[in-house]
Amino acid sequence: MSDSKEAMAPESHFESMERQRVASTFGMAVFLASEVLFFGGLFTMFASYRAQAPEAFSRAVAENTLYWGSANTCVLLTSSLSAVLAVHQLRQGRSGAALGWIVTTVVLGTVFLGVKGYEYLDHFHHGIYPGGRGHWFSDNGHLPAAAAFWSLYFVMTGLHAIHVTVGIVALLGAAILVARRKVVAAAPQTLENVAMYWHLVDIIWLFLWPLFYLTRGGR
Amino acid sequence: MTVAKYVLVYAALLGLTGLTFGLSFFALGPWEWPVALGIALVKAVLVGLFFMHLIESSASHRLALLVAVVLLSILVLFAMADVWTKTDRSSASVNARVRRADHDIEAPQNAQGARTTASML
Repeated sequence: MSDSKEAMAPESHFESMERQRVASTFGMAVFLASEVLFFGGLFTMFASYRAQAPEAFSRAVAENTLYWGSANTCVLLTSSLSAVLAVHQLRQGRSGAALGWIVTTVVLGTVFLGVKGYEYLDHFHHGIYPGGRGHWFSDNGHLPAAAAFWSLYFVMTGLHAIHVTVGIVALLGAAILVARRKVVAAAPQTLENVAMYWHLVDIIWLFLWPLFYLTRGGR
Repeated sequence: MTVAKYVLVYAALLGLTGLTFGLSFFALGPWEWPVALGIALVKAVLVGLFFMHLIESSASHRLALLVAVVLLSILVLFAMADVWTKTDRSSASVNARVRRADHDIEAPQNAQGARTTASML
């Protein structure tokens, strides 16, 4: 093994590497729990607005870029697979392969952001801006519910896109540590935690997708 | 976990994605939301258990995330109970407004509001 001594020794306040690893993952789990509640407030807001104007909401969903959004779901699911394979390879002591999978995840995350950006441009092109601004709203009778839908869409997918961006930066940071043998099979928690974050961001999208693209009353 | 198992979970996730995508083209009526969110929930559990390794992690890790899910359920449940008991859904006032807007592109609620104000005066 080419594991450096530095990576093998726990921090002074931990008895063993195993303890340190469990504590680190638990810390990440608590942080992710707070993220669930952070997005949860927005999901609750969406649900209450939708309950008050189901018809306007399903019409707005029908206006959305269904195929691009659905392709992005596949991109993000694939990136979750590559993230878990990176962790798997690192645990097996294959740092090179792990690096390859991290880079794949970063590329897929960037593709996701690119598609999302294209969708935003498409909405702007159709006169749909956050806050119910744009000619699409005046063409459709200035419905408050439609403005609420598109504002929630921009806020929730925008916040999610920021999380994807943070995930990409974190993955690149982990890649550097893996390449410098600071994160190795004996102490893989940095990459494991970044991957956990990435999976949670994926899970959030799994719920955003039906909300904003699928539930259009079969139209 | 082996690479083959990860790929199997991934295939299941893609299959469920295709299923929910296909189903979205049918008018499922009241079943639309339970079906869409149910499939999303199954996918989230698959990602959580196998990709986030919750299936093999210690109980404390699972508990942290479980608490978040329970708290979120309480938030959604009570918020929705409030909305559903307060909103006048029998007359479906908001939906009626959507239909009116199809015929008459104006802001009817403003006109109504103005009338109410006028009658109060």
